[in-house]
Amino acid sequence: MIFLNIKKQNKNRLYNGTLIHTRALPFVELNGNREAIIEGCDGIIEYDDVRAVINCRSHTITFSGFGICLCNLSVDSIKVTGNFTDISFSEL
Amino acid sequence: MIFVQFYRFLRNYVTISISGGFGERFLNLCNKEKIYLWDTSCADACITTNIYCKDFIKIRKLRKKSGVKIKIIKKTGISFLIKKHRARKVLAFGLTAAAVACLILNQFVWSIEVIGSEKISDYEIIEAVTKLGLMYGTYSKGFDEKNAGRQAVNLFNGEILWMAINIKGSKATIEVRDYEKENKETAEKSPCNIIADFDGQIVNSEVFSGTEVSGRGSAVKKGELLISGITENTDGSVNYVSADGKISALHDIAVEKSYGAEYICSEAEEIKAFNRVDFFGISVPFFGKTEENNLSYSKRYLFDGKPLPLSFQKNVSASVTSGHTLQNDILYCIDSFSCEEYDKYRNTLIISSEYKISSDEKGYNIYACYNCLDFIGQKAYISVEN
Repeated sequence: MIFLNIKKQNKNRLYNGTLIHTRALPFVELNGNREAIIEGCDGIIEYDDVRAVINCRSHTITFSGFGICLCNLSVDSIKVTGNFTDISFSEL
Repeated sequence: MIFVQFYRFLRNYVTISISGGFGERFLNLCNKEKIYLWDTSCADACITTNIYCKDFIKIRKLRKKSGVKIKIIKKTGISFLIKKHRARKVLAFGLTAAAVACLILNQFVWSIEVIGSEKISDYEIIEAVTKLGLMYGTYSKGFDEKNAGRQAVNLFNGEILWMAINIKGSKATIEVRDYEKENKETAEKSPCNIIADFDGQIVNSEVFSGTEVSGRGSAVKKGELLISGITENTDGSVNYVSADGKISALHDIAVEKSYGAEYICSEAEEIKAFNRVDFFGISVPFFGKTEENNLSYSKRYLFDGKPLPLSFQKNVSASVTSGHTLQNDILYCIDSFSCEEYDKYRNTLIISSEYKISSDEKGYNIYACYNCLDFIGQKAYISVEN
């Protein structure tokens, strides 16, 4: 039981006074409306030149705009570039 | 970013277009199989992406699973470049030869730069270091920079305080510090008077520091005080300053010059032949007559201001011409005299001049008298006891 508690504690991280579940939530870094780096994603749900929907385990992130490009595709991170007009989050 | 591109170029990659089927699924499958894709863009329902050649072989299964059509648009990489130009063997050989030549030539000195010398000319310094073994084409690793710097200082009999020779790649930098330059700053601050260095009449005076003694219109003799470096305060105490100012004076100069018969007849004749060829620091005798006593000059080819490892040494000899006329001789004397006059009085304003030419058995005499306007004054340091 003690072992399980420690494991559970490690999974949770205190971020700005709020306890967040690191495993479930993705880390999103935005550089203006031109670039976004998403860490902790599972894959791409939908992709075309005006819309990219990224699956992030518990959430989906939708980037809308024009000239959307997936610069780097790796196992758990994606770099999305383009002119974003809208970013929306939805829970799965 | 340029390094990343270069790395990708070395690893070889292809740009592919993915159409039909489920493009997103194909991308996800690639992700799961740890196949790296970059610069993925979408246009007209067609996804374009880059993939390494090594990974391209693996995507066959994934293509079937996702039902997409894959088409190679562009091939980039070193292997493709070599394959494209494999027929051009001479080009490859030329590139290799150029690279080898660059590597070899980088081991030699092809540029010598002198920094910091005011008193001694760059040419003299380069000539001195040439005696110590540093010249165009010297093998840089075989040259002892530290000892050469010390030895070069001894060659100038105390005119140079120190010298440092630094060789970086194919460029040698000689840093020199003159003795005078070192003492110049202290000398400028020490108290001094300004005295007349020739007889004349002052036309204009402008005093920057010190007390003016001889004003405009006054006649001065050589050694007479013009600006005093001693300034008196209202309480009677004195200050010693370094006197400074610009004083111009009118004065007369008389010059007499004789030209002997041997002077008049000589005329330089050039032998048009290359006598030696310097190649990579090795001097090879070439065609033409080689006379060691004659004047010689080196013709070095430059590329963008940098010398090339090839130079020609040409010999020039002076021979006596016969059948000279009186008119030619006088013209030759005047020409020589005017050249000397120009060198000597280039910074002097000559207001009026008078010339007399006379001849005797020994040759010709030219007498010149100038009335000119010149800057007057030289520093005379004051020894102050505490």
